[in-house]
Amino acid sequence: MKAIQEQAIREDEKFLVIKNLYLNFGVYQGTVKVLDGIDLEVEKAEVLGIVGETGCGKTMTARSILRLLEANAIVEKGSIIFEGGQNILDASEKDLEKIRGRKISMIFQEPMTSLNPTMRIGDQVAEGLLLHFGEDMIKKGIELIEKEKPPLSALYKNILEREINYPNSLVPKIASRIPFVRRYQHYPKLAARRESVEILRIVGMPSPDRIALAYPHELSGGMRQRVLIAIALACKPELIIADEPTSAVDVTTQAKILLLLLNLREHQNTTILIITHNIGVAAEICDRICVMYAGQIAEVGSAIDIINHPLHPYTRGLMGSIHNVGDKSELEGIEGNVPILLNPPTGCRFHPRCQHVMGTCSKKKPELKEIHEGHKVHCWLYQKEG
Amino acid sequence: MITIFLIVFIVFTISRSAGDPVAAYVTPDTPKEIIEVIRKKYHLDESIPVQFIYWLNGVAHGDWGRAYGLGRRPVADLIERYLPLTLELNLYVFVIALPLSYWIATKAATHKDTSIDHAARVLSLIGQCFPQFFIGILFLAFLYRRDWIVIDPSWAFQKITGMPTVDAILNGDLEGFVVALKYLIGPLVVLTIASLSMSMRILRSSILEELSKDYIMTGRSKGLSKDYVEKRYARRNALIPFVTLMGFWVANLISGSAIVEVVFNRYGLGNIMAMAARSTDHNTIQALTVIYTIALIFTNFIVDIVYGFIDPRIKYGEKR
Amino acid sequence: MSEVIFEVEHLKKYFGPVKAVDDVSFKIRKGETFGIVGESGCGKTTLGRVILKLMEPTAGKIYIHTSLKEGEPLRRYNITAGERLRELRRKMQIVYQDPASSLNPRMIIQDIVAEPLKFHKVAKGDKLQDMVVDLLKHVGMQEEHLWRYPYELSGGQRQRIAIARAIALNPEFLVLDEPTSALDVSVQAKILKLMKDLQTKLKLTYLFITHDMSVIDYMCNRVAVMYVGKIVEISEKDRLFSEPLHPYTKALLSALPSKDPSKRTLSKAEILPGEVASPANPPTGCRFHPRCKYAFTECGWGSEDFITYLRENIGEKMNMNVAAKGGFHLEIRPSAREDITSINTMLSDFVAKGKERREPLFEAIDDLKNEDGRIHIYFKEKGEPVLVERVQKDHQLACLLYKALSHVEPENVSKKDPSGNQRGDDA
Repeated sequence: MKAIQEQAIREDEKFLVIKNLYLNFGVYQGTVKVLDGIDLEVEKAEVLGIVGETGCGKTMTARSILRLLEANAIVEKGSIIFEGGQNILDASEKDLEKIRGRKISMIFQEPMTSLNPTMRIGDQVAEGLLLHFGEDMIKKGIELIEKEKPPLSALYKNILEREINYPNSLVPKIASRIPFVRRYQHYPKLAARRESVEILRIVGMPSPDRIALAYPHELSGGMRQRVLIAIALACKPELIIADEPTSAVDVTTQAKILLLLLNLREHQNTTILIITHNIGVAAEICDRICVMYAGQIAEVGSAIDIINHPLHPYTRGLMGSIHNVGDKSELEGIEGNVPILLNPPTGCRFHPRCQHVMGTCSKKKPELKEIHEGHKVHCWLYQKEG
Repeated sequence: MITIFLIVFIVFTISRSAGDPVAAYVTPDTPKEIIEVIRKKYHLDESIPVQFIYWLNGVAHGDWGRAYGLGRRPVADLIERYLPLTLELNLYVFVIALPLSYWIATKAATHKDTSIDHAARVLSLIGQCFPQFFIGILFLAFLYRRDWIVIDPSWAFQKITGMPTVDAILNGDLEGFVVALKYLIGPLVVLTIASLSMSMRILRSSILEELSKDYIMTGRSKGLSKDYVEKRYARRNALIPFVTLMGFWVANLISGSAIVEVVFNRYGLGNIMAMAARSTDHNTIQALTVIYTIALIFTNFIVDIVYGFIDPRIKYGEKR
Repeated sequence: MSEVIFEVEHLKKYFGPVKAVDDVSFKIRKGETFGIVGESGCGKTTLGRVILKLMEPTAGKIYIHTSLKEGEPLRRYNITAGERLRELRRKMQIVYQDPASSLNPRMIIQDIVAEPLKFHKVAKGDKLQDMVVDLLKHVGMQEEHLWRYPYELSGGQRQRIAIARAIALNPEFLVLDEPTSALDVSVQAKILKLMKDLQTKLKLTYLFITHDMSVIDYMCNRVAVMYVGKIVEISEKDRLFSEPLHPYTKALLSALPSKDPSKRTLSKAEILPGEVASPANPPTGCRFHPRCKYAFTECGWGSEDFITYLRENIGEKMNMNVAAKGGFHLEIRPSAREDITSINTMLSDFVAKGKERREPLFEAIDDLKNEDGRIHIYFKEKGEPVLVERVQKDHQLACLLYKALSHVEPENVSKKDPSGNQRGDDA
């Protein structure tokens, strides 16, 4: 009885739990079985890396957490529980909109196309602030009105105060359409813009006040990536999901971005979930690493365990494909190709390419085996008793 | 400028080469000698480039020559009388079709592959495939009987702008206004259907393209609602490429209005053009071509400027 | 010392104002893998194209040493002049980065690989087919792949086809432009191994362009580091990694993530201030100096640097119009409300204090004059450091921190100011 109670309490306290996630895409040719039973737990204030190659499902897993999936994506089963709340996969859009950008943010992979080309940078960063911290921004807007004293101050203040105190009041809605009156909206926006300049400064943007007024096409790739980061941390989220945040930038910018992420974890206790195919990046900043292959999890463990003492044949193959500077050993690739998930291999999806393949591998998906504290493998090699 | 000049010249050459231009100024039973005199007077015996220069000279003085088909009246008169009606028609079409196509396109794009979307696309296809005169005639057939359409209007109010509906209001003549409206409605509906079909399709695919872009997902990841993102992000940005197609749309309107004006007996520029073409009335053809060309090029010009304003990526030689 | 097979002399490629490749020179030795590494905008991709005259160079010369007929002695051919270019093309080929777009999607593999052979009339009919099958086997593919279309193959397989096509004519020199950057890690490993194998088997010389340092370490013998259109360092690979000399190379290497989580280095990474310079408007003097922590007076400080300084330190309070009249002359006019004397005082103050603190930006200021209502700041005009052997033989460097070796003519050390004006000591 006590054990069950303890279990229940611990479930509630867990930061993020993905359980039994099965995700499919409906396409013309059939169903693509993108995620095949993903089980993953993310601990508070850790840096967890999801590592894998093309088609392994790492991006889809990340997007499922915010349920930012395409129209043809079907969740077969599974649950994602964040901070003991409701299942994200079942939640309403409204509930999700409260989490997105506020509690959980995402940094996307392609800085060149991930910003709205017709909006100024400052406004794009400020959008989240106005949405999630509307009240604060209104209050700051009121302060600005008091400082600047524009012609219709009293009126503006009145409307803004109404917005705070009577959220459903029609007055702001009507006022927002009348030509001169609607200028009241300008002040909270201004307040938000100033905040966003500060945020841009934090992410290391030079001349943030000038950048805030610029448009995305005026910035370089590295700077745009930093804007995306600024957008993600504007509302001080608890979890930041970074999808290949450094794949499109140079090595020197990559270092800056990675240090920034580590900083966030240090000083604001932010949990970071980083998706990458770059083992070096994972090695440098991750506490734990989860290795995925073709929609299944191969192995999870501490960074040192996964990289230096890999257990799963795929992980070993992967680590053998990486060259370390100064290393004189030969590179080893992995035989075969990543499978097409329209018709994935049965059982363990890696079995067609595995050197240690056994009979069971194609028949049943391997269960999870914890080899030692925190290091878990999905592989029949480690399931043999005795 | 050069384009206008070139087009005008080419049309001039072509139209003068067909038929005998003298016919505009004489009746079938005018004696030969007088014909020769007239020919000389209007320089119709000279080579084409020379005739062109004389014509240009005439235009500069407001003399566009005389029309053959409509009682040999001065073309300038014709233009003055009938231009406003075409203008009125096109303005109405524009004002109605633009927001309407915007709205339909958004609905179709955001509810992609649902019945709304399919319905919109089918209608748009029909609108584009069926020739305008066909739809026009269908309309006439069904609605003329119900007295919703008027094809031979008469009204009592004063001409101020030349546009019937406007003038009726300015005159305070409500009955006249209704008549003017009925006169307008036939061509209006047909043209609107035609315009809608084209612009809705383009706008829809433009919106769909924007929706597939990455920044939409960034917006949603901030917690912005689907509605907001579809409208403020995708739809707004989809307007930019759409604006460039306005020129094409105007061209469509020009040709379209000619057809509907004939079908519905509306005395606008298009109708005149049709008659002029039929009777190789050089002066009229010439004059109308000039007007149309100017209209088209002007529209494109405006479009280019507007485009420069709404797309922050375009700057006219500005450095940051 | 093996012979030189490929030479590039003072190569330039400008796209209007953008100086993508700006005076690049190097020699490649037969049988080696010469690496070019750099970040985005450094010009390495453009270099790869121009070198084979796939794009017209703006200036400079390119030579290949080869023999076009059996038994003929080696000769130096001038590629830029276009002499016998079509025949020369058989000797030098390129493999591109994107396997998806470098293969014609409407041709089957057989035709793609056979195309160069057909074009140069090497073989026909059955013999041609045999050669194609042979080539496929060389790159690890099977005969059945002959009849496929590119879209039916994986990225790695497509890249193998691209390689097969490149070696079809038995070239001696291959330009590899980021050949594995678009591939998964495990596939990358296999392709790199294949390329190493082929190099030994077919006696190829490689020019390997990449941004990935670990690939450089695996594949290359010598490496050139590029920054904003120029080569800043050329060295033997092991030496480059163990003793990088150019400050940019040092920063680049320090930013590399270590692949061992028990030996993390990121916190010690040297974070370069600012952004990578733009090739359309490169800094005066040494292009790297605004970001270099070892920069000193001679490095080419000029107007742009001062403008940046003003922006950072005075910013909003700036009530003046600043105009750069050329790289080394700055003109400042007060805007409506300020008066020139106060600005003059403020600036002179800054400059004096800066000189006191021996800050290189200020030490490079020659003169500050207040005349006809404007303030003029003149900087010492410095040229760019030239890529020559410094410190050690066979290690070329474009950095004034290092003294050139004695055999180098002083005027080659730094353009515009040949007075041997560098520090003799290492940084």
